[in-house]
Amino acid sequence: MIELNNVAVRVGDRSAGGFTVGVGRMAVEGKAVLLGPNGSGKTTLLRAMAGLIPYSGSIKINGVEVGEARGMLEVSSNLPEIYGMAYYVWGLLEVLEDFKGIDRDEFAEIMKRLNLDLNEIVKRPVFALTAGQSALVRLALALSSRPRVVLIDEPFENVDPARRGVVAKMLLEYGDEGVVVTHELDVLRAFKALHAYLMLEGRLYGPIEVGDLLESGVVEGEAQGALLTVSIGGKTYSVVKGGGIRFGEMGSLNRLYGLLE
Amino acid sequence: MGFAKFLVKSALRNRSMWFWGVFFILFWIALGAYIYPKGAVNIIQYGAADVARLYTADWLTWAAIYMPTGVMVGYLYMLVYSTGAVPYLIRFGRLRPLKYLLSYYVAMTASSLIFTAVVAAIAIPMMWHGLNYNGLHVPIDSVLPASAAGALGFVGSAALGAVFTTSFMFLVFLLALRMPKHTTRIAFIPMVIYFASYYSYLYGVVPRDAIALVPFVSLVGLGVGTYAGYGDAPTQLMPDISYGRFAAPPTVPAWQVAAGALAWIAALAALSVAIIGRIRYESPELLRAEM
Repeated sequence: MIELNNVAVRVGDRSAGGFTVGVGRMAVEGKAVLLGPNGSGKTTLLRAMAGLIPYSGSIKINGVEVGEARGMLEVSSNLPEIYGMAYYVWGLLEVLEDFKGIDRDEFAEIMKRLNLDLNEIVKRPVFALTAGQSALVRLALALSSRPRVVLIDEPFENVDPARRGVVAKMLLEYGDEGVVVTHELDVLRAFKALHAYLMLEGRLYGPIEVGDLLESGVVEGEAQGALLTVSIGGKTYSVVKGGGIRFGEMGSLNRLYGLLE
Repeated sequence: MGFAKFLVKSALRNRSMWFWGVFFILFWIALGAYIYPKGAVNIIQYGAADVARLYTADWLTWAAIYMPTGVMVGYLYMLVYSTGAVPYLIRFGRLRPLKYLLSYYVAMTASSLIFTAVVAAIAIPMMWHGLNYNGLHVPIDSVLPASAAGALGFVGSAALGAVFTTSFMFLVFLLALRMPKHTTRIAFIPMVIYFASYYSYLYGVVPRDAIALVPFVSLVGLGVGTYAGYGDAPTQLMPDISYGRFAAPPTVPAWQVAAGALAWIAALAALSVAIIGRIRYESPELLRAEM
């Protein structure tokens, strides 16, 4: 179980327009999707869950406070900040084999499923991978340790449509618990059985079932029977089933602000 | 020790390391063999073999000490790009600060010894040829270590020097991780300290009592002393040929040098272990602010 209580994570300087990501309470049993447009703070929250940045409050994974965790091999993430330790992809494999216990055969199998040439990719500098390759290689490395808990950031970004389906399938197969962060609504159909949280302007809303979210839309003001009530740009909006600007038709949450204008 | 193996492979595959570590050093050793001895050899009447050996020892020790500073600069950038990975792998991996640190120590020592061996294999015959070219006619064994024990002692002092350099530079770099904008400048501070120490030792006077306390100087002395056959660290590196004959300098016992260096290494390592556990993610893109 992933539990967050009264968590605050600072993003950037106040003078540079920074803000605080705040979560009152979040309890994830099994897997959940964390949705939000770019800049909403969802990756920042994931970084805090992965132990990369400090936070106030409590973030626990299976009862262990993240700040005090040691040697919890069952947790794995694909955040790019974790994968800068080596210049070449083969170097990352060696380092993570030692420090994370990744299985080379599992990595090879995942790369095959993603239709990536393993022998060609491992020889390349990490920075020389395309954006899509980088996303897929990091995901493959994250899943190669056969984790029980996954903290996955934007696995579909820059990934071609042909491979998105494979990625979605793997995210359901690997890990018993975890959080998948994305702004892509097109792929949510694969996660209909999961719960979703919305992150908007640093505030967390939810949970709501993904299936309900895809059939819902955003309307201005407080609506009766709303699944969620959110604040966007200082105004109140409601997520209602069957009405408003439909999530299922948006494609990506990055379009939300443009559609609300 | 998969991480240590990876670090060694990374260093040996690094073309910059081969250029700045091996080629650059051999360039200077070539000057030391063919240009610098011009004229000076004419005043040596006795003890030419000792002078040749001490002279060779000075150059090879300089190479052995300089090598780890160059290797560590390469590793610094790896550290800068690891500020996200380290806290993550401490929490959700098998990374332990002591194991992480020891991996760097082992890798640095191994890499430095390999590069130094390559330099020595080329430098020794070059030095012999250069000295003979300039009129100091000595057999080749005059530029080799004084004995097998001396050769082992030189390797040991080079290894100890590599460990000390790593422990010092690693701590400096850990402290510098919070200032990625100044990383490149900070990376060269240890190299500058070593150069300054070496040339103070070579051309100046270092108090005898200070030698054992300052590994930047003492390990140079131990390398020269073991190679040249003193067994201990000489109080001066420049051959004394003021009366036309070679006069062996006074020495500082090797055990004092080793004890001083090991004490420093232990203290620096303890501080580094404490800091590794507190590494926080800093964006490596801040490095670009230096340019």
